[in-house]
Amino acid sequence: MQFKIVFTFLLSCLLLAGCAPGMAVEKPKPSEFNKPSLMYQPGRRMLAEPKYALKLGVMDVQDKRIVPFWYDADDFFSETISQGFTMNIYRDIRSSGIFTEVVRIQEQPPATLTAENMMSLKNKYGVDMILVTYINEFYMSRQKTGETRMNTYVVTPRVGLVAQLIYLEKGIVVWAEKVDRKQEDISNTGVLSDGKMGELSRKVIQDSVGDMKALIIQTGKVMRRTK
Amino acid sequence: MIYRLICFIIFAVLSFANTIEAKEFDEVRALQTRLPYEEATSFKGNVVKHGISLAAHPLNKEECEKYFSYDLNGDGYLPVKIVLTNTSALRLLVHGSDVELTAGKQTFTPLPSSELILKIQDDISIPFFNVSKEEYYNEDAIRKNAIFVNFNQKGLGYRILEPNQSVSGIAFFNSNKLPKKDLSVRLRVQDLGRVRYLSLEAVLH
Repeated sequence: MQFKIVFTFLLSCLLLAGCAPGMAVEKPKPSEFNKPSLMYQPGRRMLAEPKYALKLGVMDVQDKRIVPFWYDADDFFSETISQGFTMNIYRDIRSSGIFTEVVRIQEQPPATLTAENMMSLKNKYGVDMILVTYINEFYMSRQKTGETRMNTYVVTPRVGLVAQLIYLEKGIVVWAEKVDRKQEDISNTGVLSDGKMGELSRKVIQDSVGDMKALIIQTGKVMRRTK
Repeated sequence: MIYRLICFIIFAVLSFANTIEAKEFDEVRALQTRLPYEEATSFKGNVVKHGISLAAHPLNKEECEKYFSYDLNGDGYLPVKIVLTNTSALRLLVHGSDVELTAGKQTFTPLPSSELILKIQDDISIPFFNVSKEEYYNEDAIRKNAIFVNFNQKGLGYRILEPNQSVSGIAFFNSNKLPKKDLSVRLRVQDLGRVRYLSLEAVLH
């Protein structure tokens, strides 16, 4: 009889263990004092002669992401994510030689681009074209490899950008594409050091902006002067 | 004696149950379940303007569990599947992140996905007994990562929609703040030829 009671108790404990709320696992916290930067050295000139002999204004990048960089946090870098993307895109496009001149326009593009506000941008900043970029994805995932007992993860930062190049005078979209890139690294703990996370993030942004530049050169509409 | 032997076998089976390697987590299964290819014109209440059609459909309990491994309806959320089909000759930029629900003159913006991600992640329970520390933390990480990536994959962000293509995504609203009827989904698209916009509004069906 005693054995039955002890056994029933043990069995109940085991069954309940499956339904009990799990212990909270601490989320990785961004390091306050050693945040990596998103800025990288811009690439070299890609064209001897500019494809567009015009002045381009690079507008502030708009953050349209669905999820933050890591679960519910975004403050892993010394710049905000939209600042980091804006500065990298501006510097890299400027050094590419695709346009005669590139300036930064420190404002967000209007929610609705009308003929009036496009002309207003043209007159205010003296630019012929604007580059409008939306960040669609910039997050880091942590994929387990092998069996659950082994601590091996593939850590993957991903970037998805949608960008369009607009000729202001006629309101024509000269080029528009979506670019997606990812980088991967193996981690034995599932969490990367601040330095490694910064390095991978910079690399994935650089690759995405590199794709943007190559696509503008290859697929951007050819513009001819009209009399 | 037989009773004791049976008891021992049950005990041993239960003890090993949580250490089986090939676990299939609901969150991972939900991540692998992609939204099917659908066209807006196959939904009730779809609206068509200039060859561009929009439809909106609220997910029921079964669909929530299939796509997110969690009954979001039961927790006061209204997940809405939005389908946009482009049968025009235009390339379009879909302003998916700016989708809105409307009821008369009222407009409702979607909830940030991070709120739902944390809500579901907090609900994860892993039996702490019978598993090693590594297994416990690894299972937790696998399931949480699957939830996080799943919300990004099934969301409706900014996208380029080529002619004769269709796009689907899910947006989440706070159902406690919504009126019970006359709800519509409003979505804006931009022509990628010459800058101009088209706003579409489809009744929620």
